[in-house]
Amino acid sequence: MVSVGNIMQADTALVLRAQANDRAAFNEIVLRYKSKVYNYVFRMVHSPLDAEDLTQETFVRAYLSIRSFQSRASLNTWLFRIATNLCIDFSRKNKKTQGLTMSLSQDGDGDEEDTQRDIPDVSYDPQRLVMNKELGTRLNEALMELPIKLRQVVLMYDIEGLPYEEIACVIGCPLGTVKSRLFNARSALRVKLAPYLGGTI
Amino acid sequence: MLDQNTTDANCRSTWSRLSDYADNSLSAREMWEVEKHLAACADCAKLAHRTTQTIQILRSAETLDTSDNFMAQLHAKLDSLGPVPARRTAGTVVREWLDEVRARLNFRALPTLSVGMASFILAALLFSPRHGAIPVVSTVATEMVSQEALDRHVAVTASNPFDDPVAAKLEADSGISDSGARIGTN
Repeated sequence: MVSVGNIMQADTALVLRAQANDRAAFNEIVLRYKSKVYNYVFRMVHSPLDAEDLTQETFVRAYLSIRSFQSRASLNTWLFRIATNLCIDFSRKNKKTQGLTMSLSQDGDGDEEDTQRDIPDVSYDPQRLVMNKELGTRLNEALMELPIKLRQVVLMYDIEGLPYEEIACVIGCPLGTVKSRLFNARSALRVKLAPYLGGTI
Repeated sequence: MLDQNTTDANCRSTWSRLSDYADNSLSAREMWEVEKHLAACADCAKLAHRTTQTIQILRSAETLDTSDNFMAQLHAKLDSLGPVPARRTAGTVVREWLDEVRARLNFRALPTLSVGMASFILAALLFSPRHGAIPVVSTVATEMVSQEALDRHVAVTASNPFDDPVAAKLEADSGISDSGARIGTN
């Protein structure tokens, strides 16, 4: 297994080369991070086309400002920060133009016992939750129903596996805020995914 | 309902720690407290189980990737940008300027340059307009203002209600003479 230290070392070497106008090194950076960024951006905007555009834009911006990248943050954090800002701008514009119907504020106040849905054919295994297409879709929808501030934290922590410190750096908030947003996001998701949860303890 | 039946302080304290409990990021003591409570409270145990399941769902979410032509499109965009200009911070600008000065300046030319600079500064001091340049402008402004004030004064004087013939007539009709105080004394 490649250690985090090795990855960062390799990243630093790539960044230094990219800063010296080495397109191949930048290409390597894109190959290394495009899935991570796309995976995150897709769940932030919930549209494959927009996610593709925003991921491209993230790397275009990274390319244009790679010289300003400093080792204060990891490359991962830096790219996530660019992507997060683009997603927030996109959501803001989208909200204005479309007047999205999704609730961005009333979350986590429902009761999971009352959340009755037609439980679809979930291949549910009490010991091991099997992720099927249906549940995956529902998860993405549930994520979109979260306020963007909660969504970005839960995506970065639980899906992308970024540590609290890096998330705090990406969103520019104290560690406590990251933890409390994560708590709220998970609680809201627990309510939204209630029909898929259960089984023996 | 789950949330209403369990208003116990222990339950509340457990709820607030469920997220950290699921992440295994509680201290040993907190962990012990939470587990002790979960063993005794079925509702909280259920909630803890659901929290863990929610996190499992998130962590087993499908990893998505870009389309096949992502790289080609990106490189086309990057090509259309042309060469990226070097980043110019204040520091870089000053450094570049100093480098240029150092490159152009050979030290033999230094005394000549200093003499040139000194004479330029001297000349600038000698031939610069004296203090007064600004007051001249402000005098004009003051004059303009005072002319305006004068006009306004004239306008006010012209429309003095005491010169108004209608007012004078009303005054005469009402029998009030120059001083109202005299009526009071009468």
